[in-house]
Amino acid sequence: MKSKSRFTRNDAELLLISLPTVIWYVLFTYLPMFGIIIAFKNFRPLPKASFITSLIKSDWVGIQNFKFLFATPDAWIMMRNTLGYNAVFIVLGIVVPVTLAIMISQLYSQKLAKTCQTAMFLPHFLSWVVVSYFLFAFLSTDKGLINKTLESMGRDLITWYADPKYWPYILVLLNMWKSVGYGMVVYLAGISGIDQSLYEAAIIDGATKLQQVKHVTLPMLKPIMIIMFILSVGRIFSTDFGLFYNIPRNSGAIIDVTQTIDVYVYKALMSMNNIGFSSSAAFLQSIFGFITITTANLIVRKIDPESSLF
Amino acid sequence: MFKKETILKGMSIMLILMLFVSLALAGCAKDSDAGKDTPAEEPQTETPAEDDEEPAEEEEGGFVKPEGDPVQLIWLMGDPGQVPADQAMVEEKLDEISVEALNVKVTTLYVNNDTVQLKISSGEPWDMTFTCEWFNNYGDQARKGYFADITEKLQTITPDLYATMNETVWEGAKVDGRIYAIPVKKDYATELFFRLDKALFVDELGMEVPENMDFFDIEEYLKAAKEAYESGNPAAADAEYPWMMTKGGVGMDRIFDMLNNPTGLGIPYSKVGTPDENKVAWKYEDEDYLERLRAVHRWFKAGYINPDAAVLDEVGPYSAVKYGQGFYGADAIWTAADGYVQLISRFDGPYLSTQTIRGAMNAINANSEHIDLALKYQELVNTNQEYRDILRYGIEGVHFNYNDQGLVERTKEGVQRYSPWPFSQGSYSLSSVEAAEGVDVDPNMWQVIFDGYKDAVATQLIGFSFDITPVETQVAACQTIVDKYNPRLNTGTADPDVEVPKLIAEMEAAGVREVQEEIQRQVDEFLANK
Repeated sequence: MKSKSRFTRNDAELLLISLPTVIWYVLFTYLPMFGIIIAFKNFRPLPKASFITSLIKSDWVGIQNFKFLFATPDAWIMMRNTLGYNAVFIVLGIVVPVTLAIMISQLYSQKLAKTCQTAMFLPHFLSWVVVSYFLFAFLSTDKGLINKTLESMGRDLITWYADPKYWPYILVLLNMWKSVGYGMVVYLAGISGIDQSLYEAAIIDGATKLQQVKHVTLPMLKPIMIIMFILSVGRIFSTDFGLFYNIPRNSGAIIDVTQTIDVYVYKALMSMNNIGFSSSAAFLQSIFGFITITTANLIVRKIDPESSLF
Repeated sequence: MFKKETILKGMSIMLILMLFVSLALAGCAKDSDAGKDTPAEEPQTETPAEDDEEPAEEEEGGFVKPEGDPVQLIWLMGDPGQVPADQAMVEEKLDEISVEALNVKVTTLYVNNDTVQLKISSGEPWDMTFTCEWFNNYGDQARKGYFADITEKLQTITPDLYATMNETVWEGAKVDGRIYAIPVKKDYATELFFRLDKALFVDELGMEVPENMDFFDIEEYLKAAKEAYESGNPAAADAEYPWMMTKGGVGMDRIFDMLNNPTGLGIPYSKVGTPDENKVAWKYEDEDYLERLRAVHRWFKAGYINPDAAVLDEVGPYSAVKYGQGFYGADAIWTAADGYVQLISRFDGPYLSTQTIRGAMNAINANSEHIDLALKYQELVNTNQEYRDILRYGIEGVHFNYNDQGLVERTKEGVQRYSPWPFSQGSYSLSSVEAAEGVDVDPNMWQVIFDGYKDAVATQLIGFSFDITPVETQVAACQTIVDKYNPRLNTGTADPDVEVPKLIAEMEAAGVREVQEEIQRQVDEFLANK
């Protein structure tokens, strides 16, 4: 079917609504994109020249900047942490919010549902830096809440910030605590958009609550779940810097389970002050992210063409 | 779901929009560049006074005092932890003097080490900056071309400034034979001191604090303080952990002339005067250093050090035992800053090397439009005591007062509202000496300090600075490994006999030996050309 080529009033309105976002994206993501060349340059500000002139005149160094990412013996640990944590976050990031959203949508008291929803959403607004101090109040070795409790029970103290075995759980727990409310709202919106007549039909057929969830709610939520999945897969090579740097307080003893690509790049940038290093890392992350997102989409399209993102 | 064609149409509109915007912006950028683009000549080959064509008052070396509105210079300084609240007020006072002398006004920005390097590498405007070995890395930044070469100008434009310091100091300021920054006239040699709470150790426990002690001698003081705390002695109420540390821990590696800080490669002072004095060694393989790590670990286990040290960024001002890099008379400064009387005892030094001479310097931006003027301004800071005192202490009568001996007594207002780093702002020894309650201050302390350097252990490598470029990736990789271990080693949290071998294995995999060979090669080359 041929689509109308004329610009209707409706289109103009929609375009107007999207304008702020479009402008934001153009200014902050598309325009700076040419800065990718920093990754291939040895950038130095030149005398009396603007940033762009200096950038263009700086020496080309080829792939020199990319080598530093792999120069460290920790390279594979970083990779493992980045991919491992993200994989866990992606799975839990779908399972937990969907479960909670279904449970909350089943609550009879609207007041209670709203309260739960707000309480779970709140951590989303807290910065990781703030959270890191909360956590320190719990985990501090000599004054922390948990160690004080252990002490009063006559148990041995735990040096939390020096023992790697706890951190995968702490990090996953905190990430879920902070992000679950946000995901839940998305799925709740999806649930409230489901046609009530489907449930009515199910009830008439004698379906239990569990069967309603299994045969009505979940299939109707599937497209949203897939979109959320594809989007998060696209970021599998990037991590939330605050979570992995501020929360463990950059403690050396546990770095093998907390250092991700972003943390390493930040540290290298801060100590070596080389913009080229960090640009090349960001460039690689984007490329791999692009590859994974297209692959995920491709697979989804093969299985279920209706649900794919593009 | 959306129709694919609608999405495609939307995307093409967006792309076109994007193209327009980027074209328009690129056009603007080109226009503004055209005016600024000068022929690619080196700034130092230009004749002095290039900015001002009009003839004006002539001074030495063809320097011309600018006419018209005062020129505004920007000076980046180290962030002392708290930006002085009364900065604007003090700047106004400073401007009175500098406008009359040079027709120049100065804005001071307080930035931390990370910010200053990002500011400089991203090309933000600035004219002068604080730089040294441990802040805004002098050698690297000079090599990258950020700092103006002032080797000749120092003697032609500012002979008075040049005369304030001796040849050894200027030699230490050189990178590849050129001078890129003005050292602060202060303690040039490294001396490390223990700082002990007088009320606890002397008045209460009746211990003596000698002028010098060995690093390991501090153990008996730590032990005494801990025991006093445990027996409920009120003077030791705050000494549950007699040595409160941050993740920086205790600086034990000053027994090395560090040629490359991130990797810990350098020359041990213990080797000076022996055949190995120019052999690049690694601190993690130095028995003296390891012995200190073991001692600190022992103290940590004994409960002398706070157990959270390895993850803390800051602790309160009080600690029964502290350490610091200082000099004769530093007890007064520390006493005044922390608010309790401290006695000091030297455990390392004096050691003299390129690194120690570069303990504090100020450089001029190679891209500044006012290089000569900034240099002339630095001369003012380094030779005008009235100006220097205002810069350090603030306004007389508000932030400080002079007492009968000519010493400075800071007011409460001054301590709270104007406390920049005094050692970073140009000649430290020029500014008036600060008095401190409970400590005898020698108004001639600087003379005593400079005389004391006659016995300093000096390396053969003064004026050498390591060019990191050939091994930059290895150093970056090593740095992240060192960050992983250092907070635990320096606070005694980790057992060096377990952790150091691991660290060595990891750093060797990251290429530390290549860095070591490269430094050795450059050292040999430097000595051959000396």
